[in-house]
Amino acid sequence: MNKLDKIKELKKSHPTLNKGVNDEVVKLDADEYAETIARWADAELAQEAEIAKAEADASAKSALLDKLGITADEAKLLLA
Amino acid sequence: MATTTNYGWTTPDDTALVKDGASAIRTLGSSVDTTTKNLNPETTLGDLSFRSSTSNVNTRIPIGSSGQHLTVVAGVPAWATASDQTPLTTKGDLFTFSTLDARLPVGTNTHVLTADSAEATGLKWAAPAVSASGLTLISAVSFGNVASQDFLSVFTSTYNNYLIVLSGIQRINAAGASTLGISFFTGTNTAYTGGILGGVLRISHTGAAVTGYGSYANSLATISRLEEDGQGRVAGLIQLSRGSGGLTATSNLKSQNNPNDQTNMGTYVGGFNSSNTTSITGFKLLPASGNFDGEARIYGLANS
Repeated sequence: MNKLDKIKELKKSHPTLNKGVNDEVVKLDADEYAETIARWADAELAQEAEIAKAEADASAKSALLDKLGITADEAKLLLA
Repeated sequence: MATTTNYGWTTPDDTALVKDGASAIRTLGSSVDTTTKNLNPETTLGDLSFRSSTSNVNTRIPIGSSGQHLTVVAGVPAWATASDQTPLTTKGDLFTFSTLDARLPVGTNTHVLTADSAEATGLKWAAPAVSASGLTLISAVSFGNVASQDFLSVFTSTYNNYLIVLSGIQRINAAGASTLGISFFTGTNTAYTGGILGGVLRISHTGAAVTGYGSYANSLATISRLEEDGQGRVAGLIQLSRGSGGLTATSNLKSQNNPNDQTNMGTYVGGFNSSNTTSITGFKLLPASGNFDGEARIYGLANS
């Protein structure tokens, strides 16, 4: 998912946003809303990329262990 | 005719004839009667009398009413009804004394009564003195389901150090973990963009894993991970100091997890600083993404 799609998704799930200002709750104006949604989109895309990378690394590691015919613990022992 | 020494009653002379004795006795008796009556004008139970301006004539004071007291009016005794003897007039007045009875009006709300020898009564109402040590609560805010939370006009020149106590902070209606950031305001509500450098380490509950959540940003410093809705709440302290070298802060936060899921429990140790030396007036808490809720209390630490 690219940033534009993420923004669309976030806007759909959060058509309005509020902020707290001391004891009051205030609806974000258009600029604040756009800035917040864009920031959220960046953060979520970065998080998703991180998770995807972690999953890919785990898969690659598992495939390599299978190829070598050893377990993860044996690999640790080998590298110690 | 002779007269008596004290009251001037007429009495027969030594040479007076006996035939005039009855008349003389009657005259003397009448005089005694008149004088006695003049000296005892009371007629009724409880009456009193006092000496009038006329010699040998007293004046009657009828008995007063219940609760009355004897006083002096126009130079003579008189009964009077007791009136309110206090100077108090208004709710909250205190009865005090200078060289005479005095009224001290109630003070301003939250003021306390304190001794002051410079005051006429030796007392005055005054704001409680700021403790020489300890914390003063500046603001306490509970917030819910917001994208950010601003704390405006909470930092002033009164204190050099502030303590921000966070509790119960978590993401709302958002899956996965995020991070919690802090930024600052100058003036009334102008975002501070002068540069904030910061970093935070997360130490897992097992102590085996240390994860960096540090940030390097112009206007935002990350202070902790922010757990997924229902998976843990961030709580702890941020100590913020303003010195000649700028604003510095240290944080000691931790995620308090659901007892049934301690996977994400961890402690965050971090700090951040800016080059701003004087004009930080408030701060903003905001997740990297998603709404959040929680509570924050800001305290000022006495300077000495």
